[in-house]
Amino acid sequence: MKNALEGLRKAYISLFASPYAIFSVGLVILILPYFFRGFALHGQESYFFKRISEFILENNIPDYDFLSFGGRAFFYSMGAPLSLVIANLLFKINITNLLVFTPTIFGFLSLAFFYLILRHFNVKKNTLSFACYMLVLSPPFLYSFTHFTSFTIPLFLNLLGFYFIINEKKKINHIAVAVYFLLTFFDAVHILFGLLLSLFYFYKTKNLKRFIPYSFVLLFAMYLNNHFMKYGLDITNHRFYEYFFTFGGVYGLSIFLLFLSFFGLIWLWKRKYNNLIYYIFLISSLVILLLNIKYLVYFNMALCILGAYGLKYIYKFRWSSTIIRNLTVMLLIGGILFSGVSFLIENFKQDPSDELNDTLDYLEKKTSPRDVILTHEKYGMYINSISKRKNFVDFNKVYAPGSKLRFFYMEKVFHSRRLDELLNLVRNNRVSYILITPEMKNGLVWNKDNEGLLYVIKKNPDYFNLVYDKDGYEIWRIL
Amino acid sequence: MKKKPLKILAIIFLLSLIFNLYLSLSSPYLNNDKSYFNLRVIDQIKNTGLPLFYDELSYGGRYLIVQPFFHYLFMILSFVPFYFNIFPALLVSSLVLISYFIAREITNDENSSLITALLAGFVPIYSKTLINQFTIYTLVLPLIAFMILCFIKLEEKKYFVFFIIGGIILSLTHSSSFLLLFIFLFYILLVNVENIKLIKLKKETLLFMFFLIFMINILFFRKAFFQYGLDVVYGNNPLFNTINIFQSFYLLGVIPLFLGIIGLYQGFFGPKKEQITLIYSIILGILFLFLIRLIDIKIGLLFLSFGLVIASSLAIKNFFVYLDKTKFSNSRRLAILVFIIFFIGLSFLPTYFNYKEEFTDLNDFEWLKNNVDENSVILTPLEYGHLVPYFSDRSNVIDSNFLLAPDPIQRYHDINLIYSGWSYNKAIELLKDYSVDYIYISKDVKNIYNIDDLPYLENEECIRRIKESIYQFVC
Repeated sequence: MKNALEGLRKAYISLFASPYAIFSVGLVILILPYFFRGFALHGQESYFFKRISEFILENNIPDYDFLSFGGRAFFYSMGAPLSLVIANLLFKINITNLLVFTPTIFGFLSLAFFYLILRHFNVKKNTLSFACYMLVLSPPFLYSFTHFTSFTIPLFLNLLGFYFIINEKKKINHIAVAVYFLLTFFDAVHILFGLLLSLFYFYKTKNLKRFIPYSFVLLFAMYLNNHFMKYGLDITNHRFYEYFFTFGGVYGLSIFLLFLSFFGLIWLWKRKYNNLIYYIFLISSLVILLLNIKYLVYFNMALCILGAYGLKYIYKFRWSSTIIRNLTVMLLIGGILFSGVSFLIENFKQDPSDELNDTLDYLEKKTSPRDVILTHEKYGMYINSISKRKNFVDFNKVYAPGSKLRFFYMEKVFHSRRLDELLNLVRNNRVSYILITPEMKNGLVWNKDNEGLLYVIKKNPDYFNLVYDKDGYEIWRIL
Repeated sequence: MKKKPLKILAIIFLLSLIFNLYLSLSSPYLNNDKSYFNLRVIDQIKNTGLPLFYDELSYGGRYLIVQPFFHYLFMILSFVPFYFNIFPALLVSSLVLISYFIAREITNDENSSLITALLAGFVPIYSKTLINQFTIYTLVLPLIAFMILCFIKLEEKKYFVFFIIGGIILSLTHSSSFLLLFIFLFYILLVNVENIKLIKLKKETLLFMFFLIFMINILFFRKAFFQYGLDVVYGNNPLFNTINIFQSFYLLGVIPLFLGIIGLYQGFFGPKKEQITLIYSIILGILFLFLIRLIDIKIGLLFLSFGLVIASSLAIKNFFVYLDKTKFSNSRRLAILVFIIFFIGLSFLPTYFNYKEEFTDLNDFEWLKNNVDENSVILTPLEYGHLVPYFSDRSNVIDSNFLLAPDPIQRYHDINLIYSGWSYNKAIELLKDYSVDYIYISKDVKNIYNIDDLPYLENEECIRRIKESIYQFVC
């Protein structure tokens, strides 16, 4: 049995631990969703960046966004749109193509830099490969690089910057300064990670003096970011389950990675306080994570490394039963695989669907640019980007005018059965159309056919006119 | 192993089996409407090879999460007539055997183990939750009990294998497998607190079991987690029962409760043994789940009764040890006789009298099947929800499969309002909301809501009586 396992271990190292295998598997996983949903834009964020980038290309950076929340100040994180605009001007590639193809390229490069960073620290071949596989199968990584999101560029820049820092050539070290400076244009949480990681690196290598220029640049970047964006640390409350993909979080952690990391911590604890720096790094990361959920994409990377050591620890541990050991290891690896595969399955479907696209096209053709369209926040960005019309609410809540009140009104409109109250609300907010999707009727907003707004619009043809009804998608005009 | 105790054990087992079978087979219908849901799933497996994933007759159509081991197992056994009565009765009675072996491991005494087995065969809570019911708990409780026995004897290879297989089966059967996790979590905690040396194999097996149960359950409940997040644990259940302490004592059985508490007390102050810690863990695990309201009260009491029965074995053994030290040491047989008399009065008779036939006449459901449009929606109270699809082959408004169901809390309150509210207009509005075509209101239903008839009926304009217990909604 022991010999067989040793053979299996050797086979793993020769087959899967090589960089070729890691990068091939990584590339396949990153490309896989495209084969199912086609090489097209996917998700709200991609459409948001498309709209903003195209707007900047045509009109420079505006002061006001006429479409989001019925009109609002143009306060957005500009890193991604500006990068897209610059790439468009430099390489003459249209924005849509950039949005479709860059996530895969950045994802692949991020994986490569992650690999190179770990190799620089002399992480053993099999642990290194475990960490890389865990990373490419982790929902936060897949979320960042299977479609364009606000993490796609800064996550890559952070890895690139750190790789340049640890490089032995001084000239390359200097480039890291420039790379970190680019983070100014992204959310503060990305700069914070750069700051934290470089601080711990220089402390670990007992070279804190070298940290001074980097810290200066990063703190300056943070100041500029805060000065222009005024987002601060973007601290918002999140529900516990959102931190875990397994429990329904959009880009949460895999619970099995957390289990493995727990064993990784036990492994770290073998050297007790000699590893104090790592504990402090993890605790600091945890604090930032609790303040800002976006830090999850970085915390995930730390857990992937810890998890790889955890897996090694479990494997090397002297078990009294080899069967139990093997089954446990298989279960944990299965759990990691399960999270990755679940994420991919959830993202195989094109978002928005063809049916929703048709509905949004109809809205563009048949409504006036002044019309405000009310629908669930999940579709708000598509109203802006595809229909090119004003939405009532969308996912960009920060700095939106009266966003809390708008969400309150939206809930009230959806669930009220009083015609006068409902008409008051929609007219006061200048809503001209209501878009209802099958998902909204099946649990997202309502559970019954005659609930709240659904009841009122059907019973009052004098006030609500059904102008579009196809595949369960309905557009109601308010008369 | 001596032959005489085994003969007595076999007699106790047979007594329990005959008792369970008598109650089951003498009833015209199975208790608990969920029994009929399980029968539907088995029928579905027979027809298609797969369990129900989408039930178009429940809540007017909804997705389901079914952990299918129980249904596949009984599908295989379904060639036996009355398999849904016979095998559950056998499984419930198997608790007698399992309890005997666990008690013997703990006490190392035949007499107290046999008395424990007798107690395990007749607990009043069984009448409410297991007897004449085709529910998953008839498999889950004996399985958990068996796994506890296997865990005690884990060093023996066959029990180790049984434990692993049991874990896989349990995870594939029901989410109650989490109960086992809690039991073992408390066990690890107590073992560490008490400084009891645990063998490495047990630690490793528990670790594996933790991951196994977690993994399999996450696979099953993935969709629910995506829909509700962690609210899956609490959300969507309209029934928040409160504990009636005295009724609970009665359902647990006076003897297991009394002797169980004494046993726990003696175990706490006696020499610390790993097995006693395990009994504590069972009790603490269930009480913890009660505390955080993660377990239904009746089901919690069912598992608690098992823990108390096992704990009783300690008190019984100590009683005999004490008896041997007194001048009544020759009266062991007399003591057993007295115990049996107490057992009959306080365990057997309450178990018997506690049993009630839940459904006496369901012919109207069959009438509905043959006489109403096949797209009709039939309104019943929650307790009758699963009977509609099974007997009438029509859609219901609510049933007890709450997970992934559309808004069951609201539905539950609305149905209560339709049956017992006073507003005619409100009732009409709700009946329209749920597209109800027929209202079932038998004598038993009237008893549930404590009404003589629908309270708001004035004329037959919208709600017409078409049978003694069926109204048609025509508006």
